[in-house]
Amino acid sequence: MNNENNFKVPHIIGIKNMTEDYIQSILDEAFLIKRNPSKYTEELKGKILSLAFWEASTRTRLSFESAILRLGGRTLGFSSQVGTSIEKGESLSDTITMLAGYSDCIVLRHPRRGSAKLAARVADKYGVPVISGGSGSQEHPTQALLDIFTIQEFHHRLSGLNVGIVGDLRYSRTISSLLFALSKFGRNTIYYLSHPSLKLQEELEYDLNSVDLELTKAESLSDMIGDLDVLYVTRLQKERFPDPMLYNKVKGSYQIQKDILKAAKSDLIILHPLPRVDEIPYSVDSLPQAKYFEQAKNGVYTRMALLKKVMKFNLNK
Amino acid sequence: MKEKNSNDKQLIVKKINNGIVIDHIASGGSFYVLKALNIDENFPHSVFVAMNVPSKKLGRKDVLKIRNLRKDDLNLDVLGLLISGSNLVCIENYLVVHKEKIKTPKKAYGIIKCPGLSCITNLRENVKTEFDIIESNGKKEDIKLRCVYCDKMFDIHKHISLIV
Repeated sequence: MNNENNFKVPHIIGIKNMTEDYIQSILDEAFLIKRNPSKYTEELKGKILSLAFWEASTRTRLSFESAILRLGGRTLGFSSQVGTSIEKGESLSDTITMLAGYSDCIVLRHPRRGSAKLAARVADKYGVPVISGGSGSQEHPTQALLDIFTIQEFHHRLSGLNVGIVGDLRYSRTISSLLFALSKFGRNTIYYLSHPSLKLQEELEYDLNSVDLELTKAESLSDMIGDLDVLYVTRLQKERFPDPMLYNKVKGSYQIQKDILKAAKSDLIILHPLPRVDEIPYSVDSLPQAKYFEQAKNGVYTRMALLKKVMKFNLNK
Repeated sequence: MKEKNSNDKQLIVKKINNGIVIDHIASGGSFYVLKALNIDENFPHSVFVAMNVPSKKLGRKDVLKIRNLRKDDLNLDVLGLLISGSNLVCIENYLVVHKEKIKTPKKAYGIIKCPGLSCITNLRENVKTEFDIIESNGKKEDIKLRCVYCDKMFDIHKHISLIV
């Protein structure tokens, strides 16, 4: 189950409160869809999905759009605050109330932590499910679903894995959700490489203390590369560093150079939630380990599975 | 009735006719209660504060007597987060009309703003704050609040000014 607040309809707020079974059921459905997507073209015919993006997005918004179109539904929404009443000061609650009247499901991305939960509480009154497309630095659950879908696709398992995580542990909602997701399946070990000013948030550390996930600090990329099944790279955001000089000084330590991958296992996969800046050079793209574009493509199948699961619940509305 | 007088061994505080007494406050807790109740130099009634006095039960304790305050003027959830385990006594016409032990609430609703700077509840939203209570190792002194929206964990004693 994925129902933390006695909601009337299912909402996807975060991975933290999802069960392993619920996650696996979405992945299983996504595998079936990927094998034969044309079978699902009438699945959500006549249904409308709201895409409410207070923040910029390329992959999340467009893959949700692709997913609903492939399921026979349609979209409405906005991709920035420009041109909407939010510019005039309209609240999140009012915007969600309005969208609940216009559509059958709402995907939102908002810069504030807690935004998905508040939206779910508002929309639940109207029987409309909410899916988080990212809530501040808190969680990005659908990204984690497509991440672990890709891991399962290549490694055929989601436990007993060594996963290296490089980049911003503190502000990356993607990493928070991925860590929660990997913790559900057991016996996974995380090797992390991050600047001390970007270490895990206290709250996330607290949550991870009580789950089956081993966290090990790595000193360098070369230190961990030989042990890894998955290398998950995230973008370092210059503005998160207290000093831009420091960013320029350390960014090289987090770059994935071709040479370093020579020491990697043959079945290592490299993932990145994208967009990348310079943490993975273009020269890596042609290596067999580079799976980040396949990963991005999987966003469509996992989001199709998710929409089918969540919006089918609502078919009698 | 003969009034007792203070001497160098005992400090006798005059009985109050109407008001509240909070006894067995863990040492230092009265400071937080006064702040939470907004009791400052402009407060119109008498307030007796005994801080860090010897106690058989606690070793050291604080005691508060506040005239003309009633139970209804208090938010027991706030007190439960600040001074759980203390005893509240309500007095009317020199008689004890109510007694209760102050308990830690299971959840806290709308009593404090969330200190999480990026929490959605700090935007102009029509939403009541809501917090889970986390007692580390079951110790009352290590109580933390956790925002159900943004997950921020914090010690209420460090954010008294956010109490609403």
